[in-house]
Amino acid sequence: MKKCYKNALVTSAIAAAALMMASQAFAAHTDPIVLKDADGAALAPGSTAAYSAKQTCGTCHDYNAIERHSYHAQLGANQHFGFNPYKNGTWNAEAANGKPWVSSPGHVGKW
Amino acid sequence: MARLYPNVGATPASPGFYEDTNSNSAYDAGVDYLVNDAGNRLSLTDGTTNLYIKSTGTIRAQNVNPVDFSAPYDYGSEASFKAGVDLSMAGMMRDCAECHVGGGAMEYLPKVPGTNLATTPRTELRDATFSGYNVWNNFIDQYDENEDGVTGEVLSQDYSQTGVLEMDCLMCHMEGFSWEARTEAIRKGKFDASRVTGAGLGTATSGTVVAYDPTAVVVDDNGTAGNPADDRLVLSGFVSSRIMGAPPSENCSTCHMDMHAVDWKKRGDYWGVPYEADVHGAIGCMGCHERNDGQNMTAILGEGTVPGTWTGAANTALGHDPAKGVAPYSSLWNNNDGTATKNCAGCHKPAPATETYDRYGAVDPTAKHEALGLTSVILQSGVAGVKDKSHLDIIECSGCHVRKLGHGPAPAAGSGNHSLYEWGTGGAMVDGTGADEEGRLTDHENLYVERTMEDNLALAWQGGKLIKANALTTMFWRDKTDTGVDINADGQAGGMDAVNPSHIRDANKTVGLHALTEDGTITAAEIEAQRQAMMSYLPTVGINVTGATLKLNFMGVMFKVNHNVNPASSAWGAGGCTDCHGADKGFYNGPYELKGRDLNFTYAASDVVPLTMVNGTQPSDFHPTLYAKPSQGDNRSIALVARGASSLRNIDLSEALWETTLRVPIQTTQGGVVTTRTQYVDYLNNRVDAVHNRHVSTGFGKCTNCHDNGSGGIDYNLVSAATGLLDKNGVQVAFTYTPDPLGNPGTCSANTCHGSYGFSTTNKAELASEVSVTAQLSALSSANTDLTVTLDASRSTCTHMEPAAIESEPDVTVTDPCTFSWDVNNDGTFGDDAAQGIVGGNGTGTVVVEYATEGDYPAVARVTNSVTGETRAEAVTAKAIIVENPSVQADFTKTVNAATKTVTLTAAIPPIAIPENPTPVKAYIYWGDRKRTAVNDAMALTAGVEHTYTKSGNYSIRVEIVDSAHISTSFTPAEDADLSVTLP
Repeated sequence: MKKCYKNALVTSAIAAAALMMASQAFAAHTDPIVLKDADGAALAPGSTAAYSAKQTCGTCHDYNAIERHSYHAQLGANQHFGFNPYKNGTWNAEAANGKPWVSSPGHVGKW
Repeated sequence: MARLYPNVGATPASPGFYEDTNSNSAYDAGVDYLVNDAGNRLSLTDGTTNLYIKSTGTIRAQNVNPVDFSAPYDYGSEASFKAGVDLSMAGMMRDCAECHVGGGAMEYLPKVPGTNLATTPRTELRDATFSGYNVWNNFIDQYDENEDGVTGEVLSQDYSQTGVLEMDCLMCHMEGFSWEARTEAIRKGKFDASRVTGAGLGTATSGTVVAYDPTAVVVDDNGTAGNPADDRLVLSGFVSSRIMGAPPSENCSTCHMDMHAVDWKKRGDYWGVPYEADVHGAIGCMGCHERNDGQNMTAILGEGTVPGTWTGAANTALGHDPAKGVAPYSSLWNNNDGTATKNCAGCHKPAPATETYDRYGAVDPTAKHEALGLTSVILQSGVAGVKDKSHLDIIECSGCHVRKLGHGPAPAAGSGNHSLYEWGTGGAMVDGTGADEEGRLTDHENLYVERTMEDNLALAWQGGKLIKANALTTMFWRDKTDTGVDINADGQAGGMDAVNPSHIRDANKTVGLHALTEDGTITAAEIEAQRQAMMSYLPTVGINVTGATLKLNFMGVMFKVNHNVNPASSAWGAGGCTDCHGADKGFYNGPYELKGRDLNFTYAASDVVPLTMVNGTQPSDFHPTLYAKPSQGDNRSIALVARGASSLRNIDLSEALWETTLRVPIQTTQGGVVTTRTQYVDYLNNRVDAVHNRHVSTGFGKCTNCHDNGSGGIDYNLVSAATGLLDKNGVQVAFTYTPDPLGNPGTCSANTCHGSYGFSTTNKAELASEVSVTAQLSALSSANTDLTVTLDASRSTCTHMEPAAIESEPDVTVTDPCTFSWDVNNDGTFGDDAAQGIVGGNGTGTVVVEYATEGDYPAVARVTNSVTGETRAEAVTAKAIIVENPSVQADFTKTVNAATKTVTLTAAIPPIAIPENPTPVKAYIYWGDRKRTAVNDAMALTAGVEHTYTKSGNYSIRVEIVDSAHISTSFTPAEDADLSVTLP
């Protein structure tokens, strides 16, 4: 069960937040955001292909750089150490002592 | 669990990681040194004492068999895959990715750790060619993707049909993004389509095919109206306007702070709560998690926004990341912990602002902290009793400011209890003994693994500081057999492997069982039934269970808590020291429940085993990184056992802070040496008396306000005129404090704060209503035993105030036991009863003293309230007297006139030492010639009495003096030679 409760902020909080939102909003999305497929082609009217974030957002933003170094994306994928069964004898993983099945300090490869 | 890539190599034959100092190709205990990867000798923290190898057995090489990233690990068969995998990467895409944004190993095949991804191409999963059974091309069916009513089967993964989980930018950046719609899609393997459904742009037809909503995705003519070939699909203006630079807080909270989200479970965090439950709601998540390094994170192509420190590999630099704090056990990317982080002090510090980031007008709490005594250096970092730290130095902000107050659910109708299906809950357990109702492999959501978080948090050490923490206990099955059984089919026997959760789910399903906590009651019979279900099921997936002994384990983890900051007026300590210091206050002491609040849980003793051993030999049910304070030893773990005799027990909060027996005894800063946790907690409980707490709670708590030694230091032996403090008329406070010789509160002269605020000009430095101890003492000299005095303090009173049962009624006075200590000989030492002549008493408020000599003795009784710890002293004069009448004393001299045969006898009679003693009254002199002189006033002897003999000879004189008690004392030549006379 996943519940989402979106309680409203108190009035003062709303006012304060509204003031800040002005600085948070993108000012650059004045041009149309063209949806593109995985190959980078713009989707034509009537297309049923799911858009690619990499190609669509990547038109203006450095998707590759963002993805390569964002802990929300990598989740330890580039810290994968494998099972390393002989680390400290037969017991430990390099990623977590006492847990030979753990192969990364990040989520990718963690039990 | 799943194996991503194979390792290569075998156990090296030669040992390693020691310095072969004698070059004999073998280690020698006490000769060879331990070394690190770089070959440098390991040393103690002094940096100079090198560590020898202690072991006398074979030392294992510490070599790491490298991972072969050329191709994913091939399980070889469907059966082997089913035996060894619960969540493959393709499985994680359907489960874990409900919160993880895509990218990384969900889009590309990983590379060797440390690879510069900016310069090394990776293989996109769309383009990868797979063979065999690996974690990218197969998964265990968890959400019945093929809709055959069966889960747990091995299904193949085809990226051409599902698409790929690219990093979904809008999941964070689009206002109104639907976590639920995206989750529904990914659980069915509709990865490309999930980006469309989550953003509300359309519906999923298959993994890669969608139907766009024409109000959200519109046709744009690309500036060439009338040329359909140039037309294209674009986001509508309304959709585009909802794409934000800083992620909306509601998007963060769907994964972090909504009910059942990760930080709700780990820490009880919740977003969108009233001000009194979180004062920071108005500034949003990015208000605090904004980086303080000034980096532009928008990363627009061609604008040079990628930091030069980016390598694409894991390092300490932040990339396109919000800053995060230092959270133990968090494993997103620990290398980034604390990098460019604002933290509380980033905003809450003195002006002027020089930072590039926004501080939102945060208040500077320094003056308030000083007023509460929190900056006074009265604590110690070490164990030698040296004061070198303040409370702020040793307690992180969250320790006092996060209470989750006002954050609790409303009482359930009719029950009087809070419902746990409301905000303000979280913790207490993760049940790894079965899937939850949605199909996740463990259950962290049912009612019976939750607790109320309001004012229900623990403390833990992080380095030398106390952090607020929530203990989350995970319950799971392990095979206790240390060797010979590979219960999770990971290719390695031993290590107390955990049973694969997908196997537990399938074993449960086979016999109609469920996660143990699901119905709110766990019994030993249920535990045994589940054990037998697993023992029957596991062989069907090829796991040999011969010799296996399945046991329940509990792993407690202290997750750091620093969200949901309450207003400062509600912080621990706002009401003075006694907010925290005292018995069972709930800050560092008091009971703390580990199991779910409404869970009925019993097990047989043989059902459970410890999680691990810490410090070499101590069993513990908490993660080994539950560290003691550093002064107890570097990386010293606290062995904290959660298992009671038949259920998870309630711990005392102090058990997470200090070991039962301290590894290093502590010389306290204000008392003696303590060696146990109990002693130390008692010491902390009794640090504050009513006088101090009243001053602290009213804002005069900075120690040097009253105890300034003249140079800004603290001298507790004096009370100085406060500097800078003003009375109610705005006049600087000045006064003279007269200490009490007994150590009781002294008195203040006129023109004090007390006088200003309406008290008498001379005041006891306390308020009568706060006095919890009144010492009374009397002394009674014995009427029949010499030098013996009874000192009686039994009429002393000890009390404290407690709230009345009815809120509107005044507080009630509760009588407490008093304890007593004595200094009856005025030497300043209490407690040395035998040495100071205490020979009896009733063991509490009365003692009997036998003095060595007559005299007046100042005697002091020190009375302590055994509940509040407050002490007061009272003095009295004890009179040690001789009550058995003393003999009259007399020293005779004689003058002889031989010619006249006249003798003059004179007596020196000393004055009476004690007025009550009898005095000489009458004397009779027997001259030895059968003549007698009666002296009616005995004191006439001091002037001399003449007698004339009639003939020569030797005479023995006897004098009898009768005193006022009618007692006659005789003096003869035997007592005084002058009473012998010779006449020639």
